[in-house]
Amino acid sequence: MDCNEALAKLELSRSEACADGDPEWVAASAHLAECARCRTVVTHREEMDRAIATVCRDVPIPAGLEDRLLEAVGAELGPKPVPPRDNSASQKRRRSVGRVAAAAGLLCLAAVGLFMFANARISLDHVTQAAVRRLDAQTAGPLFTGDYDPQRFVLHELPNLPPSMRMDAFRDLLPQRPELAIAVSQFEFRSGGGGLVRGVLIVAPEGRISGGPAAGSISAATPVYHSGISSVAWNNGGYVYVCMVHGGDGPLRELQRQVREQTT
Amino acid sequence: MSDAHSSPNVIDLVRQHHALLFRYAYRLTGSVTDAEDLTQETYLQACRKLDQLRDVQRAKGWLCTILRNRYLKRLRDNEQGELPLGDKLATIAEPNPAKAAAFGIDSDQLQAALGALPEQFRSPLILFYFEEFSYQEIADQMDVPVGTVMSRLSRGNAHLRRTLLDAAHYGPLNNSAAISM
Repeated sequence: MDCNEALAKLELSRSEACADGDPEWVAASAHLAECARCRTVVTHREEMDRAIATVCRDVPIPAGLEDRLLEAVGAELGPKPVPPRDNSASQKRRRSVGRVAAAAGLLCLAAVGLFMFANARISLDHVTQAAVRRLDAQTAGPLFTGDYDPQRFVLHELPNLPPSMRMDAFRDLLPQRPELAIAVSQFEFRSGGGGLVRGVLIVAPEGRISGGPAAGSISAATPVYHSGISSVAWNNGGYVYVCMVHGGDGPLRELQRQVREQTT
Repeated sequence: MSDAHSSPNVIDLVRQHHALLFRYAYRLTGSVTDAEDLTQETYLQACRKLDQLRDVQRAKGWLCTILRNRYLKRLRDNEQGELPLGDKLATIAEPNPAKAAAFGIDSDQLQAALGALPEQFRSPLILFYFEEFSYQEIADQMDVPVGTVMSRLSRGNAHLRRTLLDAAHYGPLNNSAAISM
């Protein structure tokens, strides 16, 4: 076996796949024992492989990645499934009690529903789902109520947003049109890499939203990815804001970074 | 925490394997944004297909298979004209270059060299040399014979070393470099 053959065999047969009984492997090993040049080549290969492996594994894990993944998985899993029904006779009386409790629960739910309807509160999930449809449709306008003229109504206060961020047709929207309680528009900003990022911005009075976000600013909020859409929601000055983009939450984290840089 | 005999739980799988999956995704895509996106997609799909995982001890390979399939789907989608979102938004923090200083390798050079390889050579390299899967595990994940994995590893690694050494000696990498099939 010559040097080229031996080196090719040794290259191919590293790790656990090297069968001691393989005659070609035995011959290549014997060649290696006698050939100083091949030993140098093999040693160099191994050192370089280790160096490559070290660099390749040295990928910094983004801060908060595990939490974001757990949050996304939690959202995907949702509530735990109802266990299968037990048909044994000993359970019949328990089911009767259960029916009474369920009826009472339905009554309670109806009462809660009536209360919520009277107060016109909408869950943040409901709002974001509607906005996802709007994002898919690539249109802007009110979500649930009223007529909306994007040329006319522009929002005043969008705290902590960088100057490069352009909010289309939103200044003064909420102060002038209180009946237009929840509104959606497109937004765009320049990423650090120079790309233009477009998404959807929801602005709603805090009082209209149930289960609103806890974060007090965009930079303090945690981006969430779900079903192809990433969103970040925060609460500020009596309004709930939600920024949404297609795909991963990288653009939102970029936006948060820009906001942090601006505010510091 | 799941042990080898308990039912698999995606929450545990996130805690145990998210760093590995992110590294794999990053080295496949070369983008932090896409890598995180891909990792999340992998876990969301794992939630939906968890009943396919019978043995928790094989979870790492199972998740890598899902991730690779998602990545390949993206490649196919991109061929139809859709660009990955945020491709230029984020650049990865530079790892400590001193570890590979003897060979003049840095993370960007390595990523460029990996990126120049076709996926069927890149994946086994990442999985074998950097995540320490066995030939058999890689063959299972890629659904190819072990001999094919060995051949791809050998050729891919030779190309990788040559490209990195050329870069060290002659300057920046040529991104159009391609391995001969």
